[in-house]
Amino acid sequence: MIIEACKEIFELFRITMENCRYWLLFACSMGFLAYRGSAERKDIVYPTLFFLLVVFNPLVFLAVWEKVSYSHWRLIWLVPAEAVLALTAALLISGVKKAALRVLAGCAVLLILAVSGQSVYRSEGTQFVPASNAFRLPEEAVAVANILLEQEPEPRAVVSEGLYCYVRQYSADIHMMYGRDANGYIHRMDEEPRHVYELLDEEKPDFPAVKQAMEQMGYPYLVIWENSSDREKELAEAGFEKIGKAGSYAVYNLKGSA
Amino acid sequence: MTKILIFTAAFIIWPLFLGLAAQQAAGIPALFAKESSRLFRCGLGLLLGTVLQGAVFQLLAVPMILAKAPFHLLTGAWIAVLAGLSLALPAAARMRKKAEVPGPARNSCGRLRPVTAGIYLCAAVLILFQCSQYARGMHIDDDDSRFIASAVSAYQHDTMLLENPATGEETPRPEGELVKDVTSPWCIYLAAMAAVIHVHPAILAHVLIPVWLLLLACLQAWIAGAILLGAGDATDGFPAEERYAWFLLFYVTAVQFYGGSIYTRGAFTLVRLWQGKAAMETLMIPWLLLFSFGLDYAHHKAGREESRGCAAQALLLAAGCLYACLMSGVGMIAAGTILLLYALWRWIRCRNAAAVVRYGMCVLPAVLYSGLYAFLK
Repeated sequence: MIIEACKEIFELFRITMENCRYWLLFACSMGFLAYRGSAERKDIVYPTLFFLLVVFNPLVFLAVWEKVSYSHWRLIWLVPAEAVLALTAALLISGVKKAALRVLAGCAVLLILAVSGQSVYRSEGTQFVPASNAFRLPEEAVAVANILLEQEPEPRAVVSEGLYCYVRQYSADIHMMYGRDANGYIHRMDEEPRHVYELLDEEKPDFPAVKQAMEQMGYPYLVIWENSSDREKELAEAGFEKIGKAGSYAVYNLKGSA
Repeated sequence: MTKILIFTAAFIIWPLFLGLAAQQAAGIPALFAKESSRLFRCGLGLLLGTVLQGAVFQLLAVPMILAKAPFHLLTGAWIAVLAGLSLALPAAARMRKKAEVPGPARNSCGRLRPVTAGIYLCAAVLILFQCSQYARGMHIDDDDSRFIASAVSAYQHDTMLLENPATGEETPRPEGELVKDVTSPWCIYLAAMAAVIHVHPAILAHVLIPVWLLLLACLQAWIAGAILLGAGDATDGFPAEERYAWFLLFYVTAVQFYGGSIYTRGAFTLVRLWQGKAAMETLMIPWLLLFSFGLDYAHHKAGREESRGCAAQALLLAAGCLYACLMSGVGMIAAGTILLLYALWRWIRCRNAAAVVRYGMCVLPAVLYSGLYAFLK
C-alpha cells in the first residue's frame, strides 16, 4: 500500500512537472531563501517543507487524502511555487545597487523563467481558439439550440456526443435524453437512455430502434453528426425528417410528431 | 457597455466601498503599518470587499439551497444583506475608538521613477495579453456542462440545483455530483452575478469573470509584493515601489510559463479561471497563504509584534476560508489544510494557545461545510 501511495505521489509531481523545470528552480529558490536569513527560513522555508511533508506524505495520503478527495493532484496547488520564485528573484536583484544593472539582472531572471518553463498557451490541451460567438460555445451548438428552440419552447432532443456538453449551457429550456452523464459524470444514467446512447455510438446505428426508443420516451428531435448522404438516406428510411443543419450536424424530427 | 458599467458598479465599486469600510471597522491597517499607501489600502479594500461579497453569499446560499428556495429570493437576500453591511460597516468604523484607528495612509509613493514605470508597463502588457486571451478567444471545457448549465438553469428557471444539468430533468433534491455544489455553490454565485447585471451566465462566466478574476489576482500579487518586500532592507538603494513592480512582473511571468500540462496552476489560472476550482487556486490559496505565513514573514522582517492585529488577521483568514468554500469542494480541503497547518505551526513556534484557538476557529467554515457534504452524500 505504501508503495502504491508513493507511486500516486510521484505521479502527482510528474503530471505537474511535464516539460517544466520550475520545480528545480523552486528547489533552488528554497535553498537561496534558507541561506538568506532567519526570517526567510522560519516563515517561508520551514513552513513550506512542513507543508510538503504533510501533504505529500504517503502515510497521510493513505490516511486522509485518498479518502477525502478523488483529485489529490490538486493539492500541489498548495505549494506557492510562483510566489516563492518571484520573491527569490526580487530579493536576488535587490543586491544590485545600480539601477541599469538591476534592469539587466531582472531581464536575465525573466529569461530564465521563460526558458525553464513552457508557456501555458503552447501546452497541449490549453489552447484558445478564436471565439465565434459571445457565449464562447461551439457555433454548431448555438445554431442547433436555436433550431430546436424555433420548433417549440421546451424541446426534448437526443443530442449527439459532440454537442451534448454545450447545448444546455446555451439554454436550459432544451431537455436532452442524456448529456455528459453518458460519460459517467454529473448524474447516474438510467438504462433506457444508456441503450439509445450505445445504439448511436455504433458505426452503423440501428435507426429504427433509436426511433422506437425516442417515441417511447417522448424525445421527438435527434441531433446527429452527418458525415455522408448515406446517413441522411438511412435516417429518412427509418422515419426521420430533416428540419435543419448546422455545420456538420443535422437536426431531425420524428415524422408526424411536429 | 451598460452591462460593463453595471458590472463595474456592482463588483468593483461596491466591494471597494465595503472593503474599505470593513478594513477600518476591523482595524486591518494596523497589520500593515509600513506598507500602507493609499493605493495599497484601496487594493486590499477591493479584494476584501470581493471576498466579503462571496462570503455573505456562501452563508446565505447553502441553507436556501437546502430549503429549495427560489433563486430570485437568494439573489434578493444577498443584495439586501450587502446593502445592510454597506450601512453597518461605515458606522462600525466610525464607532471604533480613535486610538485604535491607525494614522492616515501615506499619500501614495509619489512620482514613479522611469525604471519603475517601465517595469509596471511590462507587467501591464503581459497582464493585458493574458486578459485578451479570455476576452477574444474561446477555450472549451466539458466540466462546464455541469457548472454553467446549472447556472443557466438557476438564471432561466429560478430553481437551484433541482435540475439535472446534463438533461434538464427535474429532481426532488440535488443529486449526483450536484451535491458538491450544495456546499460550494459557485455556479449559483455566477448565476446571481448574471442576474444582477442581466447578462447570460455563459457570457458572464466565459468572458467577464476570468478577466475580472485575473485582474484581482494580479492586484493580489502586487499586494503580496508590498507585504513581503515592503519592510526591511529599505536602505539598500532599491526603492520599495520598484521591488513591488519587479515582484509583480516576475509573478505574472512565472504563472504564464508554468504550463506544460493541463494540471498546473498556470493552466487553470490562464485557461479556465471561471471555474470555481481555478478561481480558488488563483485567488484564495494565495490569499490564505499570504495572510498567514506571509504576514508572519513581513512582521518578523519589520520587527513588529505578531500579536498586533491578531483579530484582524483572523477575520481575513475566516472570510477567505468562507470564500474558498463557496468556490469549490477542493477549496474546503485546501483552506482547511492551510489554516490547520498554520495553527499547528503557530503552536510549534510560539506555544500561544489563544492564538492557536483563534486561527483554529477560522477553519470552522471548512469543517462544517465538509461535514454537511459528507452528510448529504
